[in-house]
Amino acid sequence: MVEDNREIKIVKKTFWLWQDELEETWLSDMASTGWHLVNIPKVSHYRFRKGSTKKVRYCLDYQNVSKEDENYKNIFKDAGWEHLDSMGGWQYFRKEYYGDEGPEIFSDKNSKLQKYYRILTFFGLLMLALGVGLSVFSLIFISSNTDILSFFRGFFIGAYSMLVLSFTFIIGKIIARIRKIKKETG
Amino acid sequence: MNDIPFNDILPCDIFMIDVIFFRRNQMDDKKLHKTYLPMTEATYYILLSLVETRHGYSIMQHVEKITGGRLKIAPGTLYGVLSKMDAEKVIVMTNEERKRKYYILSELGKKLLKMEIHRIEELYNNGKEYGGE
Repeated sequence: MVEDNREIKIVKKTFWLWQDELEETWLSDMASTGWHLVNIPKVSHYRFRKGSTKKVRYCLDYQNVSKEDENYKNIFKDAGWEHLDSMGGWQYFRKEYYGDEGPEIFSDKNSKLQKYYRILTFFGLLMLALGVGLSVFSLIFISSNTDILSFFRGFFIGAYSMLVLSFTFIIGKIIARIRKIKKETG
Repeated sequence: MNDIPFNDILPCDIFMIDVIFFRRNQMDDKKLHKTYLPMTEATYYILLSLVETRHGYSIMQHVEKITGGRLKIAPGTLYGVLSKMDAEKVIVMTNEERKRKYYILSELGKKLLKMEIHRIEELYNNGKEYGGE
């Protein structure tokens, strides 16, 4: 076990919703230095095991399927992809290069775009829920006449602005990503 | 119809409001045409494969075989189309074997495939009649 521990390392890393491709490249680069992803024990913690250097391709799909959905994993497994783990809706897959061209989990532009639409939908709904929650809270506080009202008013205005700003920023980034894919050929 | 186990319902199914409100089964042909056609090559070949009951990987193999190795559908693309078409009742699950779901075209799916073949037929005929040579 001691020997095994030496050959395992955990790397903490986070990435933005629109930077999944950078994450794929990073994981492939790790593999080319001999560190191979084993699993994701907790959010943003990647467990790697040292092995021989390999040219492999990592791909991230976005599907909110349960960890026990074997049907989903088997479609990839049958096509030669190894399912490593999932985090949030991100599904981590790996396949070795066959020749020079890296394998892909999407064979057309449309399905690649669908992935980002799923991210948009999920994120949009999350923000909507947050917005509604915040509105309900602020209504409760505004209707109650207390001294702390002015403090909470400031708090809600701040929270609202933060929410709207980050929402606009993130949605904008994802839409920019979608536009870029649309412009790509093929 | 098969009963859907509760944990198989995805968030995207619950929020697929358009399916609930527009009742795709009851759409007229014009509306169907507008919503589904033209299909992507992958969608067309996946539906064409589901004239018979098949599971994910056998669809990939079948498509590769009938296109002479030209079209290789990747798993992410395949799952995306299958889950969407399943949610929209274009295909139905028949059974699950060795943790692989088997699907077949629904009546709506058969109709859509026929409409698309008809559309492609027109493209082909016009190409032959008016195109080069």
